[in-house]
Amino acid sequence: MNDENNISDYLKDSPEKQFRSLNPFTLPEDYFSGFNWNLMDKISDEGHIPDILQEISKRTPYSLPDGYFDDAGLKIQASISPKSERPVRSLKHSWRHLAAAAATLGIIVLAAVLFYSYHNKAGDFALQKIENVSTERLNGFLGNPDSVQNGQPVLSITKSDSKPVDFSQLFKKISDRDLKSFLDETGGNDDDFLMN
Amino acid sequence: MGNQPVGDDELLSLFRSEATKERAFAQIVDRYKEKLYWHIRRLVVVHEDADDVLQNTFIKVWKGLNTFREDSRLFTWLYRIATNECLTHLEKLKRSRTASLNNEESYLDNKIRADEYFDAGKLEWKLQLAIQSLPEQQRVVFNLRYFDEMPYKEMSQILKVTEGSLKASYHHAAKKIEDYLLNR
Repeated sequence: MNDENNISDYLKDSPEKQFRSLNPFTLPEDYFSGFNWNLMDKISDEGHIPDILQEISKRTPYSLPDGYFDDAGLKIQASISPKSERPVRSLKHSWRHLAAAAATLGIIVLAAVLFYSYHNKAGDFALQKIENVSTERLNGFLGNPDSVQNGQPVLSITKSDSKPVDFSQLFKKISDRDLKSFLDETGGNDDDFLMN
Repeated sequence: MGNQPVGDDELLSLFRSEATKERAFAQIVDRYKEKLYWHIRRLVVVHEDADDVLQNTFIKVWKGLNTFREDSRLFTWLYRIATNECLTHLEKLKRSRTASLNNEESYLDNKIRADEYFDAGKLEWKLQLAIQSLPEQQRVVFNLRYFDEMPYKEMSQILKVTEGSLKASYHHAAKKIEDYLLNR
């Protein structure tokens, strides 16, 4: 009677419960769904690697620059040290760079000023000396054979009080050497200036 | 750190300390650069591209290693980054090739043939050409399985694909390669 009751209770249970009561063992969750693949894996590991692949070396045949791997490590180290990875630079360092830039700029400006004023001074001094030379001598110099082109004097000069003579324009075509030797002859031996 | 080789776990803890971070990273680079390079090179083929991808990989490692949760091995994580970098590179390549009416497969095929050591009579080279004829996922799976002998479980962590799919991919890839090597 008892057995009869048990069987009838059993039949009232859901198929899943019936299955569980007959197979109480636990299984990995995806055992059956993965079974085929696991089986295929075993087969492929043992026999499904094509025979022809067994004949081939697994070494990759590509060419590689000499010493590439030695350099690669260094390149990678360098590439991971950008400014963004470093702590923010302190104000002290910024001022140091700024001061160096300002000093360099100052030196350049000073050199340019000195160069410019020195050459202007030399030019002014030469013009001052020319002012003291007589018109006749200047015309003589400008009309001398060295300053003649195509039989005509390159330049001539007439000094008057109404219109000042622009000597810098007038002597443009005369070489520095000729002008210097002319001034040396007429205005003494002052070699302190340069004609440029 | 001395001259004793240290394990990946120890390198990771050294990396997390500011004082030893750079030295630990240098060791990680030294340990894995060659393996990762060849994995990358087999996928992108051209040395200059492989060099770029390798550097990008390690830059990402440098930036992300502090957040690495160690759910997988360091090696697996590195391969994952490298593989993703390769796929990004190939995607860019595909877009530029599409624009110039050329396909990626023939482009990489040509690049293989342009290698100074290329020898059409050698099976090693024929295998590389066969691999390039595969669809992208099969190519990655075949390379990881065949050359790196990586277990499917690790491949699954790298590619975020079920082991079943990976096994199917490898199976199809191996068949196609066999066919290529025997019939072309």
